[in-house]
Amino acid sequence: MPPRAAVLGGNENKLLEVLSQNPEGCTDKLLQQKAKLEKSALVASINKLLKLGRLEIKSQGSILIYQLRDVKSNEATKGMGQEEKIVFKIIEEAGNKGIWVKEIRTRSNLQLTQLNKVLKSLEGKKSIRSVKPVNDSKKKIYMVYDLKPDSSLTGGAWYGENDFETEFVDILGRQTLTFLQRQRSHAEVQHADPASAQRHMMCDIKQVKHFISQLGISKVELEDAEVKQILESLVFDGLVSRIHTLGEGGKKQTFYGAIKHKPLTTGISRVPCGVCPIISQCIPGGLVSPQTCTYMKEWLNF
Amino acid sequence: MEVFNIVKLKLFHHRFEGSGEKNQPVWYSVDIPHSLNLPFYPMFVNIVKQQHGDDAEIMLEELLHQGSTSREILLETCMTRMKVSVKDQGSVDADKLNSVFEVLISRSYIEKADDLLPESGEPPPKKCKTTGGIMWRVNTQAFFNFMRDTHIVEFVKNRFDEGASEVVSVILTLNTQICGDMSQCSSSVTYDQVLHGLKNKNPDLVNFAKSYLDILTDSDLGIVKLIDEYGGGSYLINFANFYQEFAKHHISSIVRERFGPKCHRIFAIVLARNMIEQKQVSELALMPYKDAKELLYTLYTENFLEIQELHRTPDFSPLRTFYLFKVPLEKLTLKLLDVCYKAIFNLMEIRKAKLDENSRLVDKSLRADAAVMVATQRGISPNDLEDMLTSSEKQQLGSCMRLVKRLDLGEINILDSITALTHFGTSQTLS
Repeated sequence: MPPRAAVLGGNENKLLEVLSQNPEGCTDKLLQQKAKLEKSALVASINKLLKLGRLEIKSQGSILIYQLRDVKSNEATKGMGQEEKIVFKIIEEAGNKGIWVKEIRTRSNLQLTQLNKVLKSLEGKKSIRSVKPVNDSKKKIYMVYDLKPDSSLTGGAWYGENDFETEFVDILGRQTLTFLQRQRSHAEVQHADPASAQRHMMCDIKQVKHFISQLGISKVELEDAEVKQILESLVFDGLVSRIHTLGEGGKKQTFYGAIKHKPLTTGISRVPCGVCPIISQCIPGGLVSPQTCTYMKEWLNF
Repeated sequence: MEVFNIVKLKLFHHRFEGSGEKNQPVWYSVDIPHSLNLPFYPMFVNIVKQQHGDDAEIMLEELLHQGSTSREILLETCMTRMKVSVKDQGSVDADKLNSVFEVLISRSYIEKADDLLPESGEPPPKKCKTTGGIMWRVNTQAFFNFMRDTHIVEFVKNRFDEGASEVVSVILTLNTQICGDMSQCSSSVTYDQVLHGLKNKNPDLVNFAKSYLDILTDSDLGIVKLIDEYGGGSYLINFANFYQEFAKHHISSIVRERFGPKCHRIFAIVLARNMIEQKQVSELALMPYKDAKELLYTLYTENFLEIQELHRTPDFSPLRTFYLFKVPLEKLTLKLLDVCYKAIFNLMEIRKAKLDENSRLVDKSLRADAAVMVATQRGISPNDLEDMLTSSEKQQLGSCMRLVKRLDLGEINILDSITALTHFGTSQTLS
């Protein structure tokens, strides 16, 4: 026979109503005042709700406050033992940044073997899951099962299943450059004055983001910071220039535009000796010498 | 005797400097900076040929051969050389040569060698047995300044467009500074002067002169500076900033070709940020953390990057120390200059080896050319002469000359890098 669902009395319902109106929590004096209950009735109702897990007590300095507990989290901890509830609560508090084992152990005061058992049990119940951060694959971070991990753990839009998606990033970079080059060509054709052409060819992050979203290459919507990363990488490659201006309200704005010509190979880098990894060992008549150099022979016969 | 002749020759070419008192041993030292200008001589001759014709080319070649000489001896040598190559001995114009000499002085390509004049009371040296006793030599700084201006115009053209490079070219033409001066900036020119210069050079750009000047002055390169807004504005070229950007451009090119575009991106990040942590580099580089780390340490191993330690605590614990990467630009410049001179030496060695390998063919080809010249002088058609070279010999010679030409082009490319790196080093010393 299934257990009967707990029946809440009028006092309990009053308390729940007051607490739902005050999500930040109430002291017992405030509860008594708003629910208009006597002290003994208040205490009995509070105890009943605590047992059912509908309430939780938190401390604000020296004062105790009562807060309504989320029904979902109640359901999440349904059927859990006491230790499991403690560990789950610690992991839940960490939010989408997660928490690693050592930290859980410190806060729960559980032994390692016991903790590992609890974590395994929670993982089996699909209440929590482990995530490997991209920067440190040896660490294991635990978080609530349904939560989306923070971008500092996953690496953001550039990582898929803990692997950096180089091809995706390269395609985005090439398409962004093509867009900026097209903007430049249009501006040069439509505006004979070079300053006017420059004003029209420079694009801000929002324009580039709009273009990328229209492309449909990315499965997820890119953040402004991620679009900026792509543009900055093109600046460092010497393909795009960047200018800062003061926009509305004196706010700093950054604009990006394609450079007319790609950076050329210049000077000594056109000669094999300029890019030779063993130039320091090269002497005439030696093991490495200009007369016997294979790089030089290939270059001369090209 | 041979050593004495070599030393005598080197003294006239200012390669060696001698010092000592009478009846005491003479001490000689090598003037290294002067000696390192030798690979540039063909470029100097080419510049003068393009600007002032063949007569000027011959004159400069002779002066470079002799190191320093008087005007009369130089003109006499040039006339002798030109008479050999012309049929009619009377057609060598002495007045024309004189005027070419004057033009080269006015362009500062030739200067007085005042430091070679004897002290008062002493007899003048043999070569100085002429009126006035003034010795002349090539002013290498004037040529380097010309090459600098050409590089600036080319750099601006690649970075912006042709219009901007024309405006910069006008400012450089109006630069009234003395050629021997290694100054950090050009003389300032007003907006009206730029307009006037553009009207003569490229009238289509006159309407856009202000726009181009605004673009150039707003750019983060800092090559063109606005120093005064009075009367439309006064502008100048900052050579120190140009040398820095030019040197960075060459070094970046070396990194890109040697280590790849990903490594170049990391190098550019460290160069732009000056001092940066490994973690920050990997975030900005937009590549996997492991790859960024590997490339960063490759650059560090090859001495393109340095690590600066910043200790947070007095105990110098590695766990509480910041390790910041930076580009040691001055040290890197010196290291790459070494590589440049070594590369030039290697190319010279290979060229010498190729020509020695084919010396018989080269001599035969020279004899054939001389025979054709003599025949032409005697009125005989070159087609009537028997071919001295067989087809396979011609093919072999052609292949050898193609290689020599490629080596010469390679040398010119290396000289561009040497110019960029040397001038950056000098401008850092002066600042």
